[in-house]
Amino acid sequence: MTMLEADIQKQYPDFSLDISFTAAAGLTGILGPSGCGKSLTLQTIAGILSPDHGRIVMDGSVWFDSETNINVRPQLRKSGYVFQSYALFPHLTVADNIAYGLKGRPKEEIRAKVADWLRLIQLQDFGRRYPGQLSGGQKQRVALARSMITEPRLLLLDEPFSALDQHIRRQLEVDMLRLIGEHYHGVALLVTHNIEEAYRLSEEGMLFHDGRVLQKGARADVLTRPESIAAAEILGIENIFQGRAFAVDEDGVLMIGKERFHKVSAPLSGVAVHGHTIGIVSSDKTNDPGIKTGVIERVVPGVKDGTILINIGGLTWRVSVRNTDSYQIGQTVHVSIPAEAIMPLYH
Amino acid sequence: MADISLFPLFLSLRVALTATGLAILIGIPIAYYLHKADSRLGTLIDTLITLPIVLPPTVLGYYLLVLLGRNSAIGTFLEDTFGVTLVFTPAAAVVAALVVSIPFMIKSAKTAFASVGEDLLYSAEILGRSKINIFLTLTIPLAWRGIVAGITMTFARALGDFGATLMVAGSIPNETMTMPIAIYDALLAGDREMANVLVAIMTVVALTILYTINRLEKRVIQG
Repeated sequence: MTMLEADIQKQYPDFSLDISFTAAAGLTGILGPSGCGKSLTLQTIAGILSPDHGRIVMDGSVWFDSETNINVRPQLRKSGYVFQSYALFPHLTVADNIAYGLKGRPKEEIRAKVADWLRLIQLQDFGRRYPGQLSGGQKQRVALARSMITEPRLLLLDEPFSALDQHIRRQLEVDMLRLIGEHYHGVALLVTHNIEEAYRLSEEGMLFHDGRVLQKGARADVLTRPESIAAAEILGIENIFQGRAFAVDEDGVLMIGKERFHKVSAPLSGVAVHGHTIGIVSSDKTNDPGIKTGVIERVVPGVKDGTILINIGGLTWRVSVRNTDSYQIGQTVHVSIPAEAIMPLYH
Repeated sequence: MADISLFPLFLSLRVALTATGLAILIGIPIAYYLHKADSRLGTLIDTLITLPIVLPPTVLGYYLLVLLGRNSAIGTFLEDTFGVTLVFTPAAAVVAALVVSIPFMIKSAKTAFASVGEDLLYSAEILGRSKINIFLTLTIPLAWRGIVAGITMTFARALGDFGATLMVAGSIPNETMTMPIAIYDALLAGDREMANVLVAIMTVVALTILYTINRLEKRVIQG
């Protein structure tokens, strides 16, 4: 079973990186705001940067260990790295770019492999062009081929789609995922700040914040069910209540604003509720503690989903709706906030 | 115009070419070091290197005279060990031309090195290439335009130096008299005709050389 173990500590004047995780074969998404240390982590694993302390082990071979002073050069780690900026060599042809990591192999082998990869990335007629003559999507395919052709032991994708337009990005995602799926069976780390992209592409996920791993696990858990306030913020969850906005009374009942909800157990530092898990219902028909009444404060139309801001128990809740046309400011509405929609945040 | 000696022209070209060659050999490694260094030492060296652009050439010449003259430590050492004196020889003209022109080499090359993207260099390392291989196959080719610009300016500055050269190499006819000095000399002697011819030659030669370098640069980059 192929496995990456990383334990990295590095101190900067105004930032500290303290990351520890293991990643198994398959694509692991690393999500976090810019400046959270995602790219630094990838660069450290590739060997471009050295940690102050820690240990990096790939498939049992030690790449870095501060205790035994092992620090394998990036040249010998044989990882594949795809940069947001493509990092293609502008003075070399597409074919020479792809062949760059094969130096020292027999000429015939290089020619055959490069031809194979040009075909795989559907640029068979582009071998003699220069990177400057390619589109962004084409450049990133060349960059992927240049990494994959060396049969890397680890694949590091550092925001590979971020520089691309939306419509190209989706197509490239599909293409690259297929190529990686068919030709690579090891550990792959994908850094992104786009939660949808992380969800679409990865099986496992990690949330990074301020140089730390906040949360790690299967993508559905990590990307939709935050366990901390910081994680809920990174995931962009619409309703986050913390501090004086929420309380747990002496009976263990959760209070959000002036409204009472269900009983909760552990001590909490906050709660988060996705806007789309709250429903607008027709009437206050039962004594269901999840049905609340509020007044619309604002209506924000959207391309796909709109948002209405509702004052419930003295707090503003953001509720996603398909169509905002039937709502007006000042209107009284009933909303259903099921207990399972209220996600406890522990730190 | 009976006897126009072309000696100053050839001396000027020889001095400028030698100085440019030395500037490439010495300047490129310094530029490479400086583009990476963000230490105080780096800034200090950078400042010292810019100085010759700002100081009047006569001041530089004076410094060189003090530093390399027969009474200086270096001058005494050279004379005692090898039996050579540097000042008032063509070699001194080369030193003067080098000192006034090398800042242009270093400044241009440094900017050119800094313009090579870090991601490119990282990529190359991760793809298995050694540092020296990366320097030769990536850094130099990608910085080439800036380096050539630096070489051009260095050569131009070396060819045109007057003040520093006059101070350390003097104006000995057929020995250390370079073209700019010969022109001044002709003018002082009231030989307008000679001065005109030398100025014309100098202009044509400079134009030809710069034009050729520009053409070569374009061809290298396209090729």
